[in-house]
Amino acid sequence: MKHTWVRAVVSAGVLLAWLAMPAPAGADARRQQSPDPPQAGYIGADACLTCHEGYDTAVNSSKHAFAKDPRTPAAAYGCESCHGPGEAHSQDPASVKVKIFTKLSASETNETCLTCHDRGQHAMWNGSAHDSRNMSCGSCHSVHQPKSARAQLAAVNQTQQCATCHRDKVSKLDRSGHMPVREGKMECSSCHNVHGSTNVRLLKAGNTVSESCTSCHAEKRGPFLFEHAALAGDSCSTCHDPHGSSNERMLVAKQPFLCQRCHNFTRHPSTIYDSAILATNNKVFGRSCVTCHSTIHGSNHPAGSRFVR
Amino acid sequence: MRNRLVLACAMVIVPLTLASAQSTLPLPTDPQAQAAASLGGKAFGSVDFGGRWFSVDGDEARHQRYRDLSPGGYVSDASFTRRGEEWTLSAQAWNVGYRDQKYAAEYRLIGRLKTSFLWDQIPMFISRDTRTLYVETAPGVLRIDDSIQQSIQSGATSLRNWEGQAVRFDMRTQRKIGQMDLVFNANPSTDLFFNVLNTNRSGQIPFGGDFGHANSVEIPLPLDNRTTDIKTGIEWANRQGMIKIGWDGSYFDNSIQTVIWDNPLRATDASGLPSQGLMPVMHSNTLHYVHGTGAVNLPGRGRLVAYVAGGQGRSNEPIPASTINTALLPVNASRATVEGEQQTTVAQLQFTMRPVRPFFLSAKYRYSDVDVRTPIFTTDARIAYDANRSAVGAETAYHSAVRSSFDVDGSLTVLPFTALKVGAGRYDQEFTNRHWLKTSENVLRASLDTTGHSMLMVRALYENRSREGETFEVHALGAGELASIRHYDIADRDRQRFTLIASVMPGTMVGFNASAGIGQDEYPGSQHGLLETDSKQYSVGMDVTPSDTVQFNANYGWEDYTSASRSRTATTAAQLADPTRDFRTDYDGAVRFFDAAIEFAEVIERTNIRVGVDWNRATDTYAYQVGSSLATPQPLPDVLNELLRAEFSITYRLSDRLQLGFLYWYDDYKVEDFALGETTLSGLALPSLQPGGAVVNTNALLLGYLYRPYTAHTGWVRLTYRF
Repeated sequence: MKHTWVRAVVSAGVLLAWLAMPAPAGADARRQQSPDPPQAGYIGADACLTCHEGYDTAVNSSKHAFAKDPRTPAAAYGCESCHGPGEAHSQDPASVKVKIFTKLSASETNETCLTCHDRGQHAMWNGSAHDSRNMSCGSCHSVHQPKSARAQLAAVNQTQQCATCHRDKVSKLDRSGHMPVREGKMECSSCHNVHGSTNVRLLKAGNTVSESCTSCHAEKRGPFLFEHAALAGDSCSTCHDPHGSSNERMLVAKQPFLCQRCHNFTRHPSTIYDSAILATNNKVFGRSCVTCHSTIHGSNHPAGSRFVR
Repeated sequence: MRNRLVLACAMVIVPLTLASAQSTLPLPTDPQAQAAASLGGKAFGSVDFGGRWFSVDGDEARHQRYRDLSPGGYVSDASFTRRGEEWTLSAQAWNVGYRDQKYAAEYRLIGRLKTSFLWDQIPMFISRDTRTLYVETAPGVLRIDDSIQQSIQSGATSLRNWEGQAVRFDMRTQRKIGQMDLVFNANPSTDLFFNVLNTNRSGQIPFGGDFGHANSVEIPLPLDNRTTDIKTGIEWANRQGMIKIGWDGSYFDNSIQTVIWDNPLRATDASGLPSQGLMPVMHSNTLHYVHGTGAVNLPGRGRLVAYVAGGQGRSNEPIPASTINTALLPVNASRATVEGEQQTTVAQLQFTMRPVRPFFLSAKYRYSDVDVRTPIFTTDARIAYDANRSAVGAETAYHSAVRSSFDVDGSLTVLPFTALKVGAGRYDQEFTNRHWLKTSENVLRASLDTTGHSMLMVRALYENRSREGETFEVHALGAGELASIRHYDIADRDRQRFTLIASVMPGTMVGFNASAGIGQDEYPGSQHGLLETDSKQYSVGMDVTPSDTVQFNANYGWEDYTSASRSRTATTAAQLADPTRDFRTDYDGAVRFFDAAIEFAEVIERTNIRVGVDWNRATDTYAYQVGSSLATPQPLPDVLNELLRAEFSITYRLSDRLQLGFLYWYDDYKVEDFALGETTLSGLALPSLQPGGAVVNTNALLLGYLYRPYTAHTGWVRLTYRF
């Protein structure tokens, strides 16, 4: 552990050395993504706005308008970067149409967006859960009429956007055991990359469900001397519902009943805990099983096989 | 409070000064003006400030939970943005000076560099009613006054006599998160990125510290740990494909890795009767990954993406002593440090293609190998609860897992905007030291999705899964465990899922939505353990916009969950073989929720009004059915969680720059919890008195952490200044 900061400094040094390297063949590289020279058929954004007044408002306040960034529509053909060449349309608006995304199929819309958004958090879109369900970028985003402060969402915030389809998950945020989503300290994208990920269940961090959870709860990461099989089975969600529950610590069922779903030993694990012993038996009142089995996520104690130390 | 006021004043004065300097500018009060200002290289932003009033009757901690609603002056939602032709600068602040304050800043050299900073504090208010006899005398060392221990040990007093001396304290934790993110656009195809995230967590949480089966001691476990995550890499992409390589490192460093705490019942050590306990908590650890992603675009609108990652997790802290009880002989362990190591290999190959526009083909293969390489650890004896030494030693058994999955899906656009998809999958898992050494699962699914249509959205999915285990490993069961038990995370399972979501928008003024979800899991091979779960979720809703100035929406949902598990209560081998001692636990959960909001924008000149309500009620019932040899159990009380929030907001535009507002929240939380409610946990020293007044054992010393209801009123008077 004492080498943590040494490693961090070395890492930063490597990065700085990287940054100090000259860009490879800058001008040639830039041409890779720069638009082709102006071609016949393109008329420019000013011409579009003579009829489509106001359609540039939201675009101009977004990154799409960064003309100095060669990756943006503003650096290429403006409106026509996405909607296609407009000259023919301007000459005969009634019968010649440019791309109108509300009338295109999801795949056609997505192809246009993915022309530029083909890297970073969007690199795994193709074949992702949302792509395979016929979702288009326009299902959640609105370039011209966004309602959110960030990410040009069609709803006022992420929670409302995701609730359009995942209402059962969003309703769990109101339970007593919940992540700090309704308090505004987390949002759906804190854990999920809805554009596709290299983890399962569109999880953003790590390579397994457990690694996603322990990216914040690193104290439960281990490796431990004594492992709890349910956790080593790669899913914190065997016992916890990360979207919320009515149980302490977002457990999927109340203790001791949750634990009894797996632990049917002799003596106390499979005792009937009813009202008659509620006030006198420490296996049912209070924090129940984990009052004794407090290191339930794993133990490094020599006597940690039952997770009581 | 003084600091908050100073900060509040500063946050107000700075933007006002900036705004004053820009007073000749047009007033960018709407997005169009903001866009014009941004293109002109001018500054714009806003700040919200004023005062907050807060009163709560009941559990204040649970109401505040992850936020700080303390009364006083406040500055929040402050933003400043300035754009030049080649750069942008922005800064934001929320809840300045409070426990949940947050700051963000970003500087972007357009097309070359983006750097951003974040400071975020996430409080967790656990309880305001907690009390304890423990005092932390050194980091991780919790002591009780010796005279209390001596008095109880001698039999002169019991814990109930000392309960009144417990000191009340606020139990809370706090995360302080600092993050720096840097993306350097080396050229239009290449990005270098570096991200460092540092999280410090401190405070106290309730934790179990028992000294035996009939003993319940809760301690306020002190926390002071830090996680540093570093991510760096390079990504190259163009229209032909992309390549990305990177390194992720995570370092968890805990300042308190061992907790030592007094036994409230004993002052001196004896065999079976320790005076204190020792426990390792949250050992420091590291996790590193090197990963690479490559994608190539193929003819026929195809794309092939490959991902591979190799990682190593390690923890090698000293293993603590087997006991702190001086009356017991320590055990001999096979080594002195943890030597924990886990290597993970992940590979994923994803192929998609649209050879013709209406047809979509997707195939995905994923492999992951979580290989635990920690050497087997053995001891020649075992000491439970720092109390009893058993001659039977312990040996560790690790749970490595190799998983592979293959999914293939084909989709056909059968109608405009409508795709019909069918797919299949096969998931295989291999384990070490689990009762199944291998499981295989076959998946079939079909979906129909109408999206992008201006008047209709339909999304329907049916999925059928069947999982079976192979090679039963009887040695993986614990001593005394029923051989008919199956752990439900790997047990044989038949799963069926159906979901339907539909939205109809017959016009621009009104829209309706409905959803249904039905799920069923059956565990046909499980005679004991979890047998089945069922879920049913329904919702209906509507949005109405009768005019540009009025908007209304409402949603109602109802959900039902059931599950059943079977156990056998037994203390002898004969009882363990007796099926008439079986009992079944049936869980029945019901959730109802409703939300509605109406907004009036400028119906009254310069005035916006919003009224909203959000209600969620969940009830849980646990019931027993018992075999013929068992006495009829007394039913447990139902568990209730009900949260009602009403919100009223009104804003009045004083000028194009300044707005006056009032916001009010009403929160009402009802809870009945048989395990953590006030009825059961009537004091710190439990059980207190049996019905009739007879004193039973008094071996429990809790913290008073309870589930309690609350009713809260929170109000803000706010001025919003835009510049």
